[in-house]
Amino acid sequence: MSECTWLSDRMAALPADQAEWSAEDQRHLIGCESCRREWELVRAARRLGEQLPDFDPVATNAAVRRRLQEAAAVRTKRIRAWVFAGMAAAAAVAGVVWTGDRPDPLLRSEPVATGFRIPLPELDGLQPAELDSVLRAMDQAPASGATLESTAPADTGNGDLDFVLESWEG
Amino acid sequence: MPSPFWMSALAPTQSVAPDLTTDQSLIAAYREGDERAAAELVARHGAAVRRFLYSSGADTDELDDLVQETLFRAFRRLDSWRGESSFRSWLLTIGGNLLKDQARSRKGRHHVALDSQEIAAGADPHHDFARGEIEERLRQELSQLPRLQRDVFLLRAQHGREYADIASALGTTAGAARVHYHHAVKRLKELFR
Repeated sequence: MSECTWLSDRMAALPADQAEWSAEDQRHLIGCESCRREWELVRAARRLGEQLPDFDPVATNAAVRRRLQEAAAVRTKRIRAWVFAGMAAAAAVAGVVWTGDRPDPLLRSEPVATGFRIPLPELDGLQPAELDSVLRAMDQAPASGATLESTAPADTGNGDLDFVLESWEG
Repeated sequence: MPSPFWMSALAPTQSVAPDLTTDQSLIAAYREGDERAAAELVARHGAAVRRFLYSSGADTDELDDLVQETLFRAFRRLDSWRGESSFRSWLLTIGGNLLKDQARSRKGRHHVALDSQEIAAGADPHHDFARGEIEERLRQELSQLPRLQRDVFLLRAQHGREYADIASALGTTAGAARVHYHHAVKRLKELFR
């Protein structure tokens, strides 16, 4: 390490404006313009800002505390907003998943309608006894083997045909 | 309104006085809720932060706001200080970053009010300059240095920090910090010719 480097390292370590140089260092400083200028520079750098008005630590600390509290309040609000948004999103996802379990009516394999009802207002107006009588007559018809569908018109007598025609015409 | 029981359980105990001699112990006390520790940290380092910002070229009118902003940023991310560098160096580095952000947002504006005509008028190397004038020129010159050179120079020359400490605070190596210092000195000492 050259003497200039050695002195350069010592300059920054020395207290401000206090030259604790050894006799040998002082001789070097007198003879070395570069080191002398560097020493002047270091001393000037240490003086920078000395003329500033006094620092007010109490006011500064109060201002910093106030800002930190404001920042903490904003942060809390932001966290609450995120939690609310998160819960809302979770609820939405849960809703979608839950409704997703229902089979799509268009994709169901079973028939949409398993049966159908034909309205018969004539039957609705019948008394229970009359309805029983009609049902009994329907049951007896296949048993006798003479249904309208299975009997050919040619086998039907004239009286029967007249009776049917009369009932149609009222 | 009385505090809930769990808050009193978390509050620092009054019977055991914390050791508030080192920055580390002050920070630990502050983390446990001791506001006095924060006040002590501000009192201990605030003036140095202000001198650093002023020396780096900050406008005098804005100094108090900048000190406040530096300390605010520091307390907000106190967890990122792990004691690898000294607390002072870490704080000053935050101040340097703040100035850099400010310069970026005000591109083209000079921080120091001194104009180039004043510098040229006093540029005779064979004259003894008044101390105030030299310091103003030094401040002007410092504001023109690359950020790392300026920060290393001020941390070293003004605040007497070791290269290892400076390197930790600035996220570089001690060797690189020494090189930055050397370049800064080479340029700045021309003022004293």
